[in-house]
Amino acid sequence: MAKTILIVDDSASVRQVVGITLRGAGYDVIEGVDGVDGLARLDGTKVHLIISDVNMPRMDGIAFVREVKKLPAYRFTPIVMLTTESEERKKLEGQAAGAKAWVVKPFQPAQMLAAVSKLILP
Amino acid sequence: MLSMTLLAPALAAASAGGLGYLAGARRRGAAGAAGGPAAGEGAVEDYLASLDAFAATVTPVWSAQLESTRLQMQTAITELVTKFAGIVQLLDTVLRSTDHGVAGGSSDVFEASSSRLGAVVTSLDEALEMRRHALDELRVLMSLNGEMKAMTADVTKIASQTHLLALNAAIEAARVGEAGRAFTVVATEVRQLADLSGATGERIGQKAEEVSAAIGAALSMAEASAQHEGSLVTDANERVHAVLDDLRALVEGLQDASTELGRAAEGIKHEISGSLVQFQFQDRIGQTLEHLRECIDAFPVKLDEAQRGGVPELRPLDAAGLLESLKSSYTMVEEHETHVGGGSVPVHENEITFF
Repeated sequence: MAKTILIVDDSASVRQVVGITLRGAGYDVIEGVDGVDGLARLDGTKVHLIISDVNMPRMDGIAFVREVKKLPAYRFTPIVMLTTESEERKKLEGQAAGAKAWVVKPFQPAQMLAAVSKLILP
Repeated sequence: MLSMTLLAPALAAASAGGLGYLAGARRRGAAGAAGGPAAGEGAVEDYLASLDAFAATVTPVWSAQLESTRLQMQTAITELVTKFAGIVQLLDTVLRSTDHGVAGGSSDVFEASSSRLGAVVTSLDEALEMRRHALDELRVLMSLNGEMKAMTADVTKIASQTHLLALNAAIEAARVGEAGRAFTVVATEVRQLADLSGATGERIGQKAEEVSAAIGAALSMAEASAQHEGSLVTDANERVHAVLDDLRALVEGLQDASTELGRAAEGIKHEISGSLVQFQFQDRIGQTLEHLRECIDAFPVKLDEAQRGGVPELRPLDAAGLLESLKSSYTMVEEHETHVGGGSVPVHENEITFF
């Protein structure tokens, strides 16, 4: 059975590009358009990994990660931040919030898949 | 009256900004201090009013144009990516069908067709074999009938000899006279029996000839029929093999075409997927345009802060503050490098940090 990955990004084109990369590798993909929408997707569905943008309207990626970590069912779900942000201060914020990896856009599909493969839950 | 002391901040701002208009105002202000105050103060107020008008009218247009461009690009790129994503999905469908449908399915159809047609040919061969077996039985019957005819001839010959023997016996009995009378009667009876046996033998021989003729006719017809059916079966066999050869060639052609199609679809999918990655530029450019728009929107605010107290309390425009604010909004390394270097810089390779 294919593993499920949640993509949270306010850019539809980025969601599509990430989605194509992941679906092409055999993953199932669900999407959220921002942090609030991303949380709504965590409705009991088994999610093996989350990929989230940082700068988003309504709820940014760092706040989203903090909220995910409060949910017992998703506390241990690995989260990869996918963002244009490359400042060390932001990375430290993401790490403190509970993210497992920080990928700076533009990403290369092979590297993204390698990171996903390394972190995804069994 | 506007003194040089009051004008100092505006003049400083003019020098920092390199604004010729304000430099002119400074000259007019200096002249006013020496010869007449009203002209210089009026010029500065006019200039400030023009700055207000500039901020109120030009910067919103800049901002709106940037935002409109950003949204248009975002919409167009999103639609483009969505369409490409649809193409990639269609290609996946093509690849699945070429993997399992055409290649595997056509091979299965060929095997099933070959098996069914083979069964038909086998049935025809079996029917022909049965016909040959029946022919052999007819030939055996013909041979037995030949033996029967020979036996009939023997019977006729024995009857003839018996007749001759009885005749001799009658002659000998007649020569003996009265003593041979009884024997003459026996000889006569024997001769009659021999005649009857001979006649029966002849009839049997006639019937055997008739049976032989009938079997011969049946055998000839059966042999002709068997030969014809043998030709038909051979012909059917050849046709079936020809059809199977054609079908095999068709299936192999389909499989080759399917393989080529799959290879092409895989190549196109790879190219499109690779191209789609490049569309990430939209997200990056969109963010840069948004940062610029926010900076442009902040310009009227900065201007208002600088001249809020009117001409007597004019302050320099806070270019450094505006630039710092713009800089703090940057998220990408390239934005920082462009900010410092002033020119375009290449996009940095992506990096992944694991925590």
